Amino acid sequence: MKRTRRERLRPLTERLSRLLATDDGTEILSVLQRLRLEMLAPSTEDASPEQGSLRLGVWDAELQPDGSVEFLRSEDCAEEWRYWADVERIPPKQGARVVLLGESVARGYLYDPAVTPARVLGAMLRVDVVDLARTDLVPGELPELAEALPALEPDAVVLFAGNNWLNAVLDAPEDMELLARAIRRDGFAACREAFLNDVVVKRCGNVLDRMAGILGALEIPVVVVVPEFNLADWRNEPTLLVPVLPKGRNVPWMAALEQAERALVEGRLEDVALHATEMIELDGGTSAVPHELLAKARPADARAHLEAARDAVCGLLLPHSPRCTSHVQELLRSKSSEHGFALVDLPRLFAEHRGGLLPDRALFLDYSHLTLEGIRVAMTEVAERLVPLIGDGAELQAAQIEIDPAEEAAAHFLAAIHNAHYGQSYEVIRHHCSAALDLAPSVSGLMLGFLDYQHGYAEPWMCKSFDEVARRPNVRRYLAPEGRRPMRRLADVILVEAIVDVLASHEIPLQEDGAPPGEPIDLLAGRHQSSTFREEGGYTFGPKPAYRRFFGLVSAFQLRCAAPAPLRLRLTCRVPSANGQSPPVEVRVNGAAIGELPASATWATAELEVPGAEIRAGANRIEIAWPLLEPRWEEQLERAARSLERGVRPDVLPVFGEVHALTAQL
Amino acid sequence: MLRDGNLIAAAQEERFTRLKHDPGIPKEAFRYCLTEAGLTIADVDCVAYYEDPQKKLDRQLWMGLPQLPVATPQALFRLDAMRPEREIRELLGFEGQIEFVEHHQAHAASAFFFSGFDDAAVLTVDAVGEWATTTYGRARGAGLELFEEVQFPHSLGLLYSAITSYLGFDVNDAEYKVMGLAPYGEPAYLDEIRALIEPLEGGQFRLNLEYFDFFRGERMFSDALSDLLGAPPREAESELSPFAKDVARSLQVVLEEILLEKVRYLHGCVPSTNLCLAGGVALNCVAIERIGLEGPFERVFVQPAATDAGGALGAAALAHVRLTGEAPNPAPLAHVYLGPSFSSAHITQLLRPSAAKVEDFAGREDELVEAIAERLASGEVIGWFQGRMEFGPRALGNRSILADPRNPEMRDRINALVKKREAFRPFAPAVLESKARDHFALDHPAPFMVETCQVVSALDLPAITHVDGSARPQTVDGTNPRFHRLLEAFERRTGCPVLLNTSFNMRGEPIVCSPVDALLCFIRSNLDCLVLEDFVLDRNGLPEAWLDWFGGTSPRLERGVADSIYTLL
Repeated sequence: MKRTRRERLRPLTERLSRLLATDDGTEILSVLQRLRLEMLAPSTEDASPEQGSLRLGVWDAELQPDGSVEFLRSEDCAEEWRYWADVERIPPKQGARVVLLGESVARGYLYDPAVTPARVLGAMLRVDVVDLARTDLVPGELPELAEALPALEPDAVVLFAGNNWLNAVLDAPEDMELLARAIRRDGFAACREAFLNDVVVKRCGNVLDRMAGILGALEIPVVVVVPEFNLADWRNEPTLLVPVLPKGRNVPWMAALEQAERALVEGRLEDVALHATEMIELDGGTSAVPHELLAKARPADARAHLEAARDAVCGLLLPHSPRCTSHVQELLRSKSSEHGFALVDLPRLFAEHRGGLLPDRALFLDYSHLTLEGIRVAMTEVAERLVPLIGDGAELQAAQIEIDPAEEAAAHFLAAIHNAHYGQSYEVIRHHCSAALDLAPSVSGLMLGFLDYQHGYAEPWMCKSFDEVARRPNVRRYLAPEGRRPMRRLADVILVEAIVDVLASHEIPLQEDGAPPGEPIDLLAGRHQSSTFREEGGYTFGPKPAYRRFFGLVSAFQLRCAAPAPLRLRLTCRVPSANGQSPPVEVRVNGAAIGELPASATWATAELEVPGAEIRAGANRIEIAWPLLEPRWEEQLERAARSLERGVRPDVLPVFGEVHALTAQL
Repeated sequence: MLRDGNLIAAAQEERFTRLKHDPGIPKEAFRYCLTEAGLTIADVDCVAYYEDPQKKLDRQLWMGLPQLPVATPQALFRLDAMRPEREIRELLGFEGQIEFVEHHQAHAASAFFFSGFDDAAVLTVDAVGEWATTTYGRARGAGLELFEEVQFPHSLGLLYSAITSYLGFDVNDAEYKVMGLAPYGEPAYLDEIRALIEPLEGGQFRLNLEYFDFFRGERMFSDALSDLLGAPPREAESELSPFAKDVARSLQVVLEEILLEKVRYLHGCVPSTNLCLAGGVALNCVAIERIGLEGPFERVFVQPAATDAGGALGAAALAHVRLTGEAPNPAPLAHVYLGPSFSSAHITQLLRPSAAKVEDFAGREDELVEAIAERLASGEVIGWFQGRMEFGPRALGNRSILADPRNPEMRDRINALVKKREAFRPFAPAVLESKARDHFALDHPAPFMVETCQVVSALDLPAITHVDGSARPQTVDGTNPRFHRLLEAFERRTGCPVLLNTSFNMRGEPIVCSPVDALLCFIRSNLDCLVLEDFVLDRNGLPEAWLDWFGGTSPRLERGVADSIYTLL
């Protein structure tokens, strides 16, 4: 049988495959692929969306008999509805019209649909404001929306976005390669600098330029709103301390942190500043923690330190709460100036409004979503900018935001949940619970319902109490199971404490959450272990492993028990950086030492008997204390760089311990 | 999970992640297998992988020629021979020995080592492994030798997939639809289909590559195929023309011809009485029937999980051989109830806080099966969830939708209620093993639904009888006691020891795994009744809220909003 030319080449590809079946070989192949793609492919930066699209968000265009266009909400997108304005139709233009584009802040997240910035703006201007803000909007979607705007014939467009831009702009292989080079050069500090200064500025700048091109061609004036951040109250999740640092700096950093915290407790503010400065020198600006300490040590400069804290975690390529960093704020300002957009600068505006105080819970429900006061102040300024742009007929009216106290209370309770699910402090979570109760005592029904369904054995949606909570229209947008996806659950330890505290006068039947009798309880499940979804997901955008990694020195697990009873714990764990001299792993239950395991770099299993006397009726806290060891930073940084070169976002944080299995048997 | 050579557990990742054909490293399935075996990761001696990554890379490089390497956005980062090992280490966390088993060796081992045969000839046929697409082997005891192979691009699996694609169905998923369509057509295009493939000496055959396009990764066939068959490719979801049915029939006939020829060749090389089959093409149960009836082997064993899922069984078995020098447990595979189970106590706790009306039959199994038999006899369609989940593509009475096969409306009804699939596709029957011969032309137990046969029943069984009078039965004995009792109860009531048995899932969704999956499928569909172990839920007893949240929705495969940001959503 005659072989084809291609078939005759088989020995060569076989030989080549042997040479390339290594880590280096994989890298060589991807570099060759990248080179060819770069040589062949046109830039996609300027690619326009498909022309002739008749869909705007979740609304489809329908031509009316008189030739006008009406947009009707499409059943095809029913599962997307709750991310957009809760309106069935967008009628043809009749008078002056403004379009609001933006993210969840522009949606009025947690008040929507009871109150939305668009409606507040419309009431102030007495014009039609078409609300095209979308929860979770990413920057790449903006030009697509802008392309479809002619059908709405707007007189002006308001762009209120920038909080979602950081983690949404990294997908181009060349950007990932840039960051990989930076990591090899100087770890995650260099990666962060490259991301913020190069990737973000370039990609987000392109989006704004495209918006300017599209809207400029249509001669539609634009008002840009620069987002602000809750500098005073918002903190990163407690686990987000510091990434793996090059040259063995993690242990010294942790030691400096301990000293700084001790100095803070003892009121030695100069020492706090000294140790915090030392931490920044070690981490290269990659941790919010020393900046937050400096804000406490030097209150006169708090704003600058807290802005640095806000920005520190950005560019580390790990999940964190949305925010608009200084880089994006400055980009919005400079591009507005360049393209002739009117500007509403919330950092400046809020500072004026608060008489120089830091932006705080008076203006924010969480990191960036606004309170009613925040919405009113922001929209008043937006309206003032719009009046001269809209032309005849528009005048500014003083508008009060009207909302049923029960709905405002619900928003605060939702804010308490949202804050809790981002690992915020007890004090902040309790503030929102308390505010909710002050506004409407009836919100206690929501709280009790939440406690009931959130801490039982069944899925939340299966519980009677869930229906009572989630059926309320302004709660349903946030707590309902998305049409096809049931909700996940977290341990919510602090949130429950806060609710129980504010509901002190109520009887609270908290369920035990044990497994059926005789069955072991998997304490690695989120409902026993995690306070936040990012914690449950391992603080990575990369693939989640089949085991849990822990990034703090103490890992805590919660188990609710009906009554004191002996417990058997079975733990399979390892300590990645352990060596023969490492201190042991300690296990504690409700503060009492239960046992120790040698710290092993390979998996080891231990069974620990917990006497009944150490177990309480109600919540029990099981802790694993890991030894403080320097991570294998060279290995982890190289792995991170290689991961980026494969198009996968890397693991960033130092791992103190890993658990493959942890069960409790009552 | 093999422990001391005994098969302890097996499950597909898609069942846990609810992402059909989930291609990721099987993290959830791995954890489940450890739990089921009562082991920790530290107890595992070896993880086996069902492919040789270097050989696969060789084929990928070769396919990309003249580009070296192929450079398309889709192919970027896909040429990665280290990925399996890296993910086993980093994502599974496994520190021990890793054994790589060639793809078709894994298929072959999955068939032979679980067949119960002392010796056998082995045939594996799929689309492609590393290079092999078809292999011929002999096996005895712990020894397994593949002595001949057909190599890519010449592939029966790819031939079938290419025509599947031409006929407007999804490749690597809907080949069984073409098989189901075939009896509606005539073999009017045999010459054209035969022009696509040339049988050669021995076990070899050769595709006429003029008609195929496997190298660019965009579609599987060339324009020349349309010219040959005289019609453009069918648009997906469009009406099925007589032409499409004739092409399907012709393809099926040619496949059967070639398989029979190659089986005879194999018997010449390995004159055993036993044949073991695996690989995706081995799920072509119509062809398997002909091999059984017309082929030279007395006994034929098809690995029930014949597709790549079953490769895990074979890889584990071969790793066991390599580590111990001995064959795994030589007993024949008794069942494929190898997945997770959920106790009645678990379901009790799950249902307790709900407003659902639930009938509890705990300790009253006789009453349970009588009640369900009565419902089935009255025409109800039942979601039936009990015991350990099946491994492989077939629901065999533990994650099943059950109905009365005598009802001529039942096929359309189930399609309208839950399956939403093409009307031409038949549903399969489950039958009491002791009564199987009365209703089906079967002379042996068929517990895995891997072969078809003619329906010979005196009863009219329209819901499970295909247009050509065939069916793909599961014979049920005491291995699945509750399902067996249900069939007995149904027979007592109706005189019919047969039930329609189809997988418990909606279109596009993996078979349900957990009670919550089953509940969601029940709510989303319009099934009349759900049996969760000892508990029975009637559609009329579902809380309004559940229907409000999930009624009429479809299972979700992708996420609209990132959990990592909007924590309430």
